[in-house]
Amino acid sequence: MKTLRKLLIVIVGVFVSVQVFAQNSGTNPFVGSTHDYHVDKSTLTSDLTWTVTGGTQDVDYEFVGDVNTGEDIKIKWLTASATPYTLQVSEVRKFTATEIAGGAPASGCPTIRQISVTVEANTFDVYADLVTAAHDCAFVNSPVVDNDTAGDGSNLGDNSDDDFGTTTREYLITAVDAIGDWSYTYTLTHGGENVGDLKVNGVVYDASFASGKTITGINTPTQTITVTYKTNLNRQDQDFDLVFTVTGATDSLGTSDGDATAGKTDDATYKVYAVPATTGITTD
Amino acid sequence: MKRTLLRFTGLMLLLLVSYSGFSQGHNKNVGDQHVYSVTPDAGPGTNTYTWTVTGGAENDAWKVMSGSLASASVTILWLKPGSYTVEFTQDQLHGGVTCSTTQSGTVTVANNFDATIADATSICGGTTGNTNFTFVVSKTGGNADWSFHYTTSGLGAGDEISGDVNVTGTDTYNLVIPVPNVIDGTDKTFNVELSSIKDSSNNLDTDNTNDETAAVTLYGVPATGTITW
Repeated sequence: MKTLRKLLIVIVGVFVSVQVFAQNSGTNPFVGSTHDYHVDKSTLTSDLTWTVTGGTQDVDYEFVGDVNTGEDIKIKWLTASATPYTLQVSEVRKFTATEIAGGAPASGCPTIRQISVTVEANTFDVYADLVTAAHDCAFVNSPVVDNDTAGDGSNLGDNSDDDFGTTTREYLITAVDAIGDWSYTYTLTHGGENVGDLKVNGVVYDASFASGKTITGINTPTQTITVTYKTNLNRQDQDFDLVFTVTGATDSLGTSDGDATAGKTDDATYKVYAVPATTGITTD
Repeated sequence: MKRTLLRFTGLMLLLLVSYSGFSQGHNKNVGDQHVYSVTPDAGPGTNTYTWTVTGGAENDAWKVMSGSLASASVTILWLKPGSYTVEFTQDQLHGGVTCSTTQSGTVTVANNFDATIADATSICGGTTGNTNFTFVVSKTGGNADWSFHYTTSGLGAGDEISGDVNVTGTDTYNLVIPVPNVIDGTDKTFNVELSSIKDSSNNLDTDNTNDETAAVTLYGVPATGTITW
């Protein structure tokens, strides 16, 4: 009985391994992914030509750079296939004039190599999740220290130099079925609120990133993004939406974001409720 | 007696008329069949017919194909070249006397047996097994059954291919030479030569200028690797 259980575990393990291996590979690419293919040419004087049958060039697939000769090519797969495509490379000898005159076959004695390629739906997906409660107050030091920056008591009793603390929100960015490193571009919006000293992962996030900031070379399945800002730096924040949006995600194969995961989206929104910018306590 | 003489004279005239051509002799080649016949006298008595061929032994130099040597007609197959005499005798026994009439002619049989091997076309090889080259070997003249030895030249020591072929009853034979493929794209150029060509009566090939092919090439295919990704 114990042996049977072990055997089942092994079988399941092998199945899972095969499934993982098959995902977005050269023979089971995702729609939108680009794959490298290679053959070792013979030592003969010859030409290599790659073709795909079962689909239409530039509709179902494309040779990147319009290059379909040589030992190395790249193919971007554009359309999922109900029946497999056949990727073929033909190496044809280039006979000399003397050989042709001597009866060398006009066919060039081709050697054909083929593989079957099944293009699958794109399950590569990069999405954003909230880490903490969607609706929550901004962080505030408690109690807030009534600073006397001038050192003469002139700043006491107001909030002009008081530090209300740093509000932090985290986003969890997840990549599903990525092959190799993955990357994406993000934008962070805050509803037009004048958020002070806004930083993403410790780096100032300002208007220069309006069109987005790109993160590349991510080699883990998830990535945590930490957004911080100085609470009430403008002396009284308003309620606002802090929205983190993922765009242009790709993996190392150039696969674009398939948005295939149910219930997940490319953006995640925190509703940040302002905390009162109460002044320091004054007394007579 | 007068009547007998008249009949005998008539028989002689009939035979002379029937075979006036053959009495001059004729030429044949080995492998030829020919019908020799007479119209015997149908007079009274017992008639006996006898064909005699001299110049070679029956079933060695010649052979009866149909009819018989004791009939009015016989078909002779000439097996070997030579000079032969074909003679027919009709013995007529009547009145206690046997009267005989003999006719003959000469046959000169020549050897025209010739086998030829045609060139093949250069072709592409494969990646495994052999690639077959077909050379058409044909013969003219001679007897129906014939044989030859063949050998390749150019495939290299230890790789040459040879053999003996017996052909029965047909003038054409497809000689298939299986050449092992080489997967590294190596070309193999060779030719085929026939020897010991003879028909079933050991008549030898009369023309040795067409017993060897031109060079033919097995072009190796590129040893392309498998597709990787």
